[in-house]
Amino acid sequence: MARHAPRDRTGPGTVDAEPVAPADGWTQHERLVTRRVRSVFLVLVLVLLAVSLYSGYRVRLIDAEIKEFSLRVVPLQQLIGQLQRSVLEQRRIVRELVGADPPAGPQREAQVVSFEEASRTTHTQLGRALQLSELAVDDSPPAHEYERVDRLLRAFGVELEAYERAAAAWTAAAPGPEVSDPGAADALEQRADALGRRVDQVRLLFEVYAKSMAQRVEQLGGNARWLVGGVATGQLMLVLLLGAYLRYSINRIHRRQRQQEQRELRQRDELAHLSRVTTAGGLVAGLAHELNQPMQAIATRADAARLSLERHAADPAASRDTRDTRDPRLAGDLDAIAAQATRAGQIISRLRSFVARREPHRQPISVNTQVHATFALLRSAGRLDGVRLSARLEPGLAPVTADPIHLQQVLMNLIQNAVDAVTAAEGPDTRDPHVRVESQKLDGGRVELRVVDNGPPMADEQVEQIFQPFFTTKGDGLGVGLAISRSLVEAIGGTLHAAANPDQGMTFTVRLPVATGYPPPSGVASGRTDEPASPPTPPTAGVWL
Amino acid sequence: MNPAPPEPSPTVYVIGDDPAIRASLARLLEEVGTACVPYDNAIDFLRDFDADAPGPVCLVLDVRIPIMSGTDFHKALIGRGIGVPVILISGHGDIPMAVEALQRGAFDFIEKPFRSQHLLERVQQALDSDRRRRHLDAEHHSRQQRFDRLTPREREVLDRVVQGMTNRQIAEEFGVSSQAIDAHRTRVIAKLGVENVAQLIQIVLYHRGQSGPPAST
Repeated sequence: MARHAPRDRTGPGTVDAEPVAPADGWTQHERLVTRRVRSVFLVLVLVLLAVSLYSGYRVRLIDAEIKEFSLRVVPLQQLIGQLQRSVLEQRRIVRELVGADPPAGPQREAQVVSFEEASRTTHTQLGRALQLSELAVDDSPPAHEYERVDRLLRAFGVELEAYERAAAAWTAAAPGPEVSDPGAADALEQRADALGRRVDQVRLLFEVYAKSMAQRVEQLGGNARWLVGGVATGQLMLVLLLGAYLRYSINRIHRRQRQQEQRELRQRDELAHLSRVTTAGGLVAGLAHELNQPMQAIATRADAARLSLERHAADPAASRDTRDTRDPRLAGDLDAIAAQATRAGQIISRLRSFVARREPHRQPISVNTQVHATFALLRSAGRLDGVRLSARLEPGLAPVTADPIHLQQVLMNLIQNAVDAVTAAEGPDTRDPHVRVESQKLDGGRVELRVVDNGPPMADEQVEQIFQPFFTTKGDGLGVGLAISRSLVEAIGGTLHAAANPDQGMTFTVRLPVATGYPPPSGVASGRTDEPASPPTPPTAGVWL
Repeated sequence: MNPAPPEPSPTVYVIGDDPAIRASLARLLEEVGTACVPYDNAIDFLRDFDADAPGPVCLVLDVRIPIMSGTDFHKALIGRGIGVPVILISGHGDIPMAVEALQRGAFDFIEKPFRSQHLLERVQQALDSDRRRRHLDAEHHSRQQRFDRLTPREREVLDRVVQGMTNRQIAEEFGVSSQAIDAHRTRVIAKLGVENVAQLIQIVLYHRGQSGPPAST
């Protein structure tokens, strides 16, 4: 059902404008699975909810029945017990009065009064019992036993009335102390016996009824327990299902985030590569020239060697005599050729390793080594345009974990940027254009690299802007160099900032964490243990160009 | 090309930043028997170079050299009046750069990579050119010295001889005897080291033409 939702939304006449478009990074399959899981979950939740509601309803019904049992059946049972006792009392008095040795005088009077009291009590109790049984019959359709109880109670009532009448006749006929009319007394006794039997009957029946009701209540209680258990189980399952669904969704989100991160990482690497290629494009002309040098030297050496051989070949006598003097020069030529061929190969491999598209490989590396490698690449590309490039590197720095090419790229961008800045500053201030790279150990397990130039300083509001992608003040280049550099530095837990120097030029500062497993430089003496309390390197705030 | 008198040996100065290139050029030039002095920058060369030293000289100049670029250095040479033939070598030469260099008087502009044979030929030609230049310079110099020895009266007489005036006409103009003029004339011919009037006219014309070739046709 949920699968039809998007089709309904687009409608028949509209162009389906969103055929794939996984803008949020979900694939079509993932979306489908998610939707199915969601509908199954919904159905399960609904079923469990219905079961819970129904069970709760049933439990409440049973509760009401049990309450009714305790409200009606128990009082009725008590009433019937009392009724039996008062009937037995009446019978005892009647037996005594009509017995062989009947009391006389005031004793008899008292017996008659208590008989009448017992009779009234019986009457009241019967009325209440009938009331209770009527109510029970009215609202309890399943309690057909009630009807039998009721019928018996009513029969009992009829019998009681007859008995009362006989008793009244008897007391009216024999008010005196003497025994009169043994026939009436017999009749009364018979009635009293019949009444007693009826009461016994009612009590017995009611006991059966009460027992069955108690069983029923017990059964209902069992059902209720089951139902309560069902509800609890359902609710537990609901909670578990909800938890499972939540976990599933959170996993999905995490996976998606991971994928997104990986995608971003890949994009950054690709952009970094693109930027390197662009940089390399600028270097190629210079490198081609640089490559010409060893090539030319090789060609010239080879020609010289050949001329030498030809000269000696044309003069066999000289050849014989001067073989020994000629050889060192030829050997020198061959050495020079080999050295220059190696040099050409190095130029090519430097460029190739800088430009090659490959997976970044982070490893512990020395920043100073990378500074020298970058200098070599820049120098061989002849991109310094008369700018003095110098380095002031602190020896023995702990390594950082980084991809060497990425670090070279960052340095290349920063140095190139500085070189462009100092050469662009044409005018009275162009004496001694200078770019200096410095490295330094910082407290807290960090290493700092600074690229300092003496070009024109930058306004503060421009400083943060230069790290924006596609911000460029130059005609060539993508304007991503500094943005890429910052993202490359931040990817290895470092920072890249720029600030204008107090007097002139800019300083770009890269701070990188020292590779794990290497002791942080602060506190523990690293390397030079023999210098007690060596003064810490002062912050070089005032040491500009 | 191989004059009997002991000609001073030619020297090629190689200026360039790349030690491998310098060494290979030196090796090549030495192989063909030319002395080669390498420099890694132009300042050192200018400090050491003695323009009056004997012997033909030629400069092989790499355009990209430290401190002072090759073209700047060439300008400086011209500015100092050092007329040594200069062969520029460039790894990334373009046509405007080559044209500018040649207009400024460079002997040649060679682009890397070049064949050794080509460079050697051009170096030989440059050395020949320098040899000729030195020869002419020397001739010019000696003639100048001879002219300088003439007295003012002798110069006036010389002018008029070259203009084609006879001794009599000159004598009339100056109001002296034609014998006196003849004596002047003989002295002029002796001082300038020529044998007859025709040679006299030739040398004067050349001297006045300064930079033109001697009218030896």
